[in-house]
Amino acid sequence: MRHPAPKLPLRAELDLPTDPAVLHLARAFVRDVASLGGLPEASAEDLVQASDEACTNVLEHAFEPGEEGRFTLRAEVNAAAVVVSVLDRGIPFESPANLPSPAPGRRGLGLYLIGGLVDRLVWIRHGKEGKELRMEKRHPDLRVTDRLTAEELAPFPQASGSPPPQEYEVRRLRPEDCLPVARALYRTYGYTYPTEDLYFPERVARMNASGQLLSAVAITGGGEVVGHYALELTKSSRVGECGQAVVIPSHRGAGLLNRMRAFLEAEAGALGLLGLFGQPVTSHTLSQQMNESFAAKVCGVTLGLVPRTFSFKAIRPLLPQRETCMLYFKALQPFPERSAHAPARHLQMLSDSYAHLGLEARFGEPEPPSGESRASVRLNPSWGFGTIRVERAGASTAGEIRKARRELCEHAKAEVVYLELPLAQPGCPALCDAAEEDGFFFAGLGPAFLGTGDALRLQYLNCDLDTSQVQVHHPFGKELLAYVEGERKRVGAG
Amino acid sequence: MDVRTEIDDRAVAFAAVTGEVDAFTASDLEGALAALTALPHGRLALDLSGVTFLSSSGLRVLFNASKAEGAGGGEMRIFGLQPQVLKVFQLSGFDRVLTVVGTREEAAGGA
Repeated sequence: MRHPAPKLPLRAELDLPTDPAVLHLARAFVRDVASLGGLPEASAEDLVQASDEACTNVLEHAFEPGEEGRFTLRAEVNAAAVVVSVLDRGIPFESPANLPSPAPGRRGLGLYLIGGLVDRLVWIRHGKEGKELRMEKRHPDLRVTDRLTAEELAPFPQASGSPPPQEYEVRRLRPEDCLPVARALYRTYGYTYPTEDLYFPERVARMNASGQLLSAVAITGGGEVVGHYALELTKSSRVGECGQAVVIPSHRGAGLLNRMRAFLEAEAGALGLLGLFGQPVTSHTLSQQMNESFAAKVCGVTLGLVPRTFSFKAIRPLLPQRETCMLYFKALQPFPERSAHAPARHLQMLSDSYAHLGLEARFGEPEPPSGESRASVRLNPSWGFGTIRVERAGASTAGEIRKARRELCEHAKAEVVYLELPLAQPGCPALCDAAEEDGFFFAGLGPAFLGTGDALRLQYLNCDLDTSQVQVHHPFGKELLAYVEGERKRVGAG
Repeated sequence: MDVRTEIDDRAVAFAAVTGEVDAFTASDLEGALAALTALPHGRLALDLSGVTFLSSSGLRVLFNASKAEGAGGGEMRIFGLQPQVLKVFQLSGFDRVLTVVGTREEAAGGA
């Protein structure tokens, strides 16, 4: 008999001793939670396997030999995914006992498998509260191409002239809009749009239901869905990412993108967000110009953000290389007063960036990082990149960044790693120096990207990347790209 | 987890594994294979058709057993992978390092 559907989000927790005999119990727990969350068996087994590997890592590496400890298995079922976390308060990350052994490393193989089995992977250092490995498995929703025929997905005819004057409604997306949105996207772009989620109608509905995505749609008087624009939200900061914009060709020129953007800015303001950012592509400058028309300002260069291909290889043609995006930001309300501890080398560029954004920052003196460290490491397997986010610059943070970078590149096969350092903290410049010695280089300014304030963004390339064909619209964007390329050469990163 | 072993009249050493192979039970599998291969034998054939779960700890036991057979001039062949176990083999690349065949006959016979 099937379980009745639980009220979401559902949270459950299991407290376990570090005894390998409990692995069976841990798997049974995850198997049941995945089933309650409605994951089909194959997806559920992937999550069970990933959880077992994560628990095994805690048993084998988080405690001294012979030491009896406890760890926690936490599960959350939300509308979009089943998330399992393994938390322990064992020996710290940077302890030699916890460093990855040479390939084929014991910890390395487990982590590598986990990366291939789940859709999102995050490991977090909570300071004194220990560490956490969080694994997210999404529902394996159908692509729009599995739902509709080739005829229904035929490209739109070339539009001629502006649409006739008519009334449109702009409102929040409803579940029944998702299939028409995916269809409109496919008919407009084929399978070439860089954000894959929109091609999965149920996924967009689920992400809106779970609060990860806030979608606006434009509807004609006749009820036809002709536009989509979305705001992606995270729990860890007060900024949202704007993207996934599409207006079908025959309704362009009616100002729908502007209306959807205004709608999303109002929604974001009501949620108390400080600002919105966007990452337009650089194979052309249209999306950058769109960001500028919304009064967003360029403040960074994200090298190689978009992968050459998604998992759906058969349909999407390969890009010649990963695609670089520009970073644009728009403040929605006055920023709280704060100081920025910029590394001396980047002071001028950061100062220019703040000025270009129209934000004020008081630059403070650097100090060596001290005290406890708080950082998280994220792996996005389908996009092939990792993000290291430092909320608190502590004594051990520089070593944690080095280790996380190695784990992401060597075990999880990330092609690019982005690093966000807390400018609000006096320890930021020392962390920047250490990261640059490891091969990271300047990427830009991320205003309010962190819970503790603004981020100094750095990047690390684990792949070849040629930026000679990159198209940049704004003069300050060109200046940023030249600066990033100069820094890349200076740190010797190719 | 349970392992049943036998050496047939062609000197093929068979091990039929059933249940779940995790970090806890992997050492039992290791012990059972060591006891089996200590006896005179030709080919080593592993029947995993009863294995419903195999973690990286189990993969390492299989890898080491295969290496030991190879070092002694022998060979280990595996058959009967269930879908999830096959997936772990493929994801880890062990399907290219270990010899995986379709049937018991292929595992026991041939060159």
